[in-house]
Amino acid sequence: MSISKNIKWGLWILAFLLLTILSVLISLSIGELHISLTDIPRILFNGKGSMEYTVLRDIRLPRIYIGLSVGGALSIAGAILQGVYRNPLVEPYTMGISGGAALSVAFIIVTGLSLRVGAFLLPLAGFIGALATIFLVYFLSVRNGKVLTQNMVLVGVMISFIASSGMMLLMSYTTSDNIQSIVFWIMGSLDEPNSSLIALGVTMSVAGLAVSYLFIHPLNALRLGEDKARHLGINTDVAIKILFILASLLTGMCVAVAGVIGFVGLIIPQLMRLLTGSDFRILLISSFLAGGSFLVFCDTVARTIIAPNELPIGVITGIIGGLVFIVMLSRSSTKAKLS
Amino acid sequence: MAYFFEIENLSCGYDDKFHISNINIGITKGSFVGIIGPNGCGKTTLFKGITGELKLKSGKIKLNGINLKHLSHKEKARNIAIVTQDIETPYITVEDYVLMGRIPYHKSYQFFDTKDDYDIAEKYMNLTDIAHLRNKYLTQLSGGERQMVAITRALVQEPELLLLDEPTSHLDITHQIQVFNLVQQLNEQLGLTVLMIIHELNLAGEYCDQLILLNKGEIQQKGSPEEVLTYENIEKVYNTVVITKINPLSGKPSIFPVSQKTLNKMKE
Amino acid sequence: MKLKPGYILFFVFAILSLNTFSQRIVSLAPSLTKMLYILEAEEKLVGCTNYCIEAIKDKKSIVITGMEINTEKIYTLKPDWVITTDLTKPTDIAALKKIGLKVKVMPSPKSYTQICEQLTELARLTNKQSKAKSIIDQQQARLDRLKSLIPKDKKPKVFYEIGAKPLFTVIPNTFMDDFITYSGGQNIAADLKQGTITREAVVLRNPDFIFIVTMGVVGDEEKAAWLKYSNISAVKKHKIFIVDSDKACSPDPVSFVDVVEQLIKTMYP
Repeated sequence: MSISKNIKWGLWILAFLLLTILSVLISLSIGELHISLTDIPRILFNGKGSMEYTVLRDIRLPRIYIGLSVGGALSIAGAILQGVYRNPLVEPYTMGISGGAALSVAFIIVTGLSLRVGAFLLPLAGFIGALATIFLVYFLSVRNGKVLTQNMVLVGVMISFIASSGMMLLMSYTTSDNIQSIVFWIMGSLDEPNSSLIALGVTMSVAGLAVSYLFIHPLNALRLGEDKARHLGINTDVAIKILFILASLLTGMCVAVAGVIGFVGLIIPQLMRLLTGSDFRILLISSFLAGGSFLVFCDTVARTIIAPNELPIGVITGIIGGLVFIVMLSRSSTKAKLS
Repeated sequence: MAYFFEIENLSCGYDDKFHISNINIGITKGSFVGIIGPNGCGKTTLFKGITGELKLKSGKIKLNGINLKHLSHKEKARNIAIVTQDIETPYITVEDYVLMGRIPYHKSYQFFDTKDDYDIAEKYMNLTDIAHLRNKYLTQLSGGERQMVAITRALVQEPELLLLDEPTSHLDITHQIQVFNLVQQLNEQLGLTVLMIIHELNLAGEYCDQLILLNKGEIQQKGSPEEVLTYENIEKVYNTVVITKINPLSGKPSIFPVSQKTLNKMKE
Repeated sequence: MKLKPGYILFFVFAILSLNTFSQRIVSLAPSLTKMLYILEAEEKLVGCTNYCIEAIKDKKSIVITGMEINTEKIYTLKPDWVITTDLTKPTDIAALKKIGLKVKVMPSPKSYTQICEQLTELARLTNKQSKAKSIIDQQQARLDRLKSLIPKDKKPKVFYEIGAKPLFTVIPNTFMDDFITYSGGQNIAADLKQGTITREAVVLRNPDFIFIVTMGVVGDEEKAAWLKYSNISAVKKHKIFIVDSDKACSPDPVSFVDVVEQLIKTMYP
């Protein structure tokens, strides 16, 4: 019995690795400039100085790095939050984290601070905004030293609403140029020329995956409920706090690098549950890989569908993700699996 | 005398003022102890205080002389296994659910269940006779089957003490007896110490070595079933007229209810 | 009573002067405020936006903050004309008209010619027609001179960046596109209908010049970002330049020609 489970899981991981490679190859070759797959190795190793080389190495490859890391990070953040709160509707952005981040960025844009200090202020503001939300949600949900998960969801949703209102307030008193900047930033983009930021994103994403695996037992035990998890020897208070912080840091990083890209953290873990089951040992890595592939794929669409113009990626993930999810949900056999 | 499981001067409660206090219980190793009492007397509050769900206002709980506070979460889970009235049914197979009982033994970097884990799970699934259900999902089981699965999971933790909270209150008599028989078997064959909250007085009398009768947050009486299940105690605590008799087959006390109609007839 | 010619003359004169001296204008766009200052008609300005720095220094009332119009305040100022651009919401314009105010909408100029037309229009409202004509003639003369500096055989490809994150460029049918045309260049985004362009598209179109119009530090950061794409002609030849956004975004004749001058002098040294 044990062997077949390991084999099943191994096959899933292999499948998702192949999917990732496929989406990367598609993204490398498709664009305003079509580069055939067989040419790619030659260009990358020998073609320095050519147009194709610049396009591949300086434009498409960075977007792929961001896509894989942000897609992966959002998916595992979603998986973790859904596991901790045992609520399938939870994702990084319903927890108010993106609201706080977006509000900070809007503030920076409206006050023009980034123009005076530097564009790095925007991702920094996004990250700080996300962290500030974490602390707010945490402190408003702790009573007698115990973390009340019910409260966290409510507080998170409230913060989302307050942040939206705050942003609308900022937007109503600023120029239309700033409004456009804010709106496009909020809708997300994988176009980020700062290579140190990209490197930071990739590192944090992979580190996040590794750390989440250290909490495999609490995550799995929490599937039975907080009390049952505690009865199984899990220090649920500490575990929930750390997991929440981990998910929030990952989300903050994603917001900082790529803006707000919704839906990925919601649907990828749910889809993975339907395919691979809810055991976190397979769920985390599958979500990571599938999320990365999905985002890379969506980005390919975002930058080619109305080329040479670029669509905000949040639009694509919303449409494709939403449709896929509706289709899966309509098959009643899946309804039970998602609880 | 050092007890195996000892509760000293425990008091705990809720913010809205319901408290239990002056709880002193000494349980010897290998005994089968039942906690009984009317609704609202504090059985579940006591249970929550023992399992750590409720913070203690005062008192100590010791296992083998060691205060539970000084044990890590994992150490506690390896010694004490808890079965509650299972309300939640996550989407998980019986086998995977039972295997979760091995979590207290896993190191944090141990991702896979070892062969030992599988063997232990197998052993207990056979003992409780649920091995044939291993690939079914919990949602597909009946209430009685789910209860057996929960107990199996608790056994897989290989505890010294088994804590149960009214595991049979929603089951029919067949399944009630099935569960009680199993617990008694575990108590006798495996030497498992059992502390169980029991709703049904007759079952408590039939199966337990010791009974603790709670009333309004305090211990009314503790001792053998014969000492506790007297009609004076029952009438005082449950505020109802009963007759106590000895079960002719087992020699254990039983409670017979007396209807108002019968009482009226007697008065004539 | 017979209408003596003297009275008629006085009457006509009074009306004319009323027209000249009591024109009260409220401007809802900084670009229009600037044009009023260029026309030296600032004494007619009674209300401006919170971004009109010069006007605020001259103690003009602020009637609009960001996109939020304070209709009441405008009404109390009793303007003869409210001038605005097409960035103002139609509902706001309708609201102003409803309370009896005269609103003149000047849409974002699509070309240099339209900039001049708008200046003339404003001059008509403020009775500064001669000033407007002299400005336009002056700038046209400058343009003609500058045009002669453009080599006949060259038509360099230009990428004109007006926004970062998202990357935004200039598209045809805007006055900024005329910067490129009037300086003898070719806009690489000439086929775009909307301004968000992918970096890949810019790299593929291989501009000879990159002009970055952004305020403050972001301009330098964008320049540093473009330098990484070593295969672009503009990068190879070190032809990435920053353009002052105050002038570049201001649709008035003087600023326009200033920018064209800077472009021409940069592109053909």
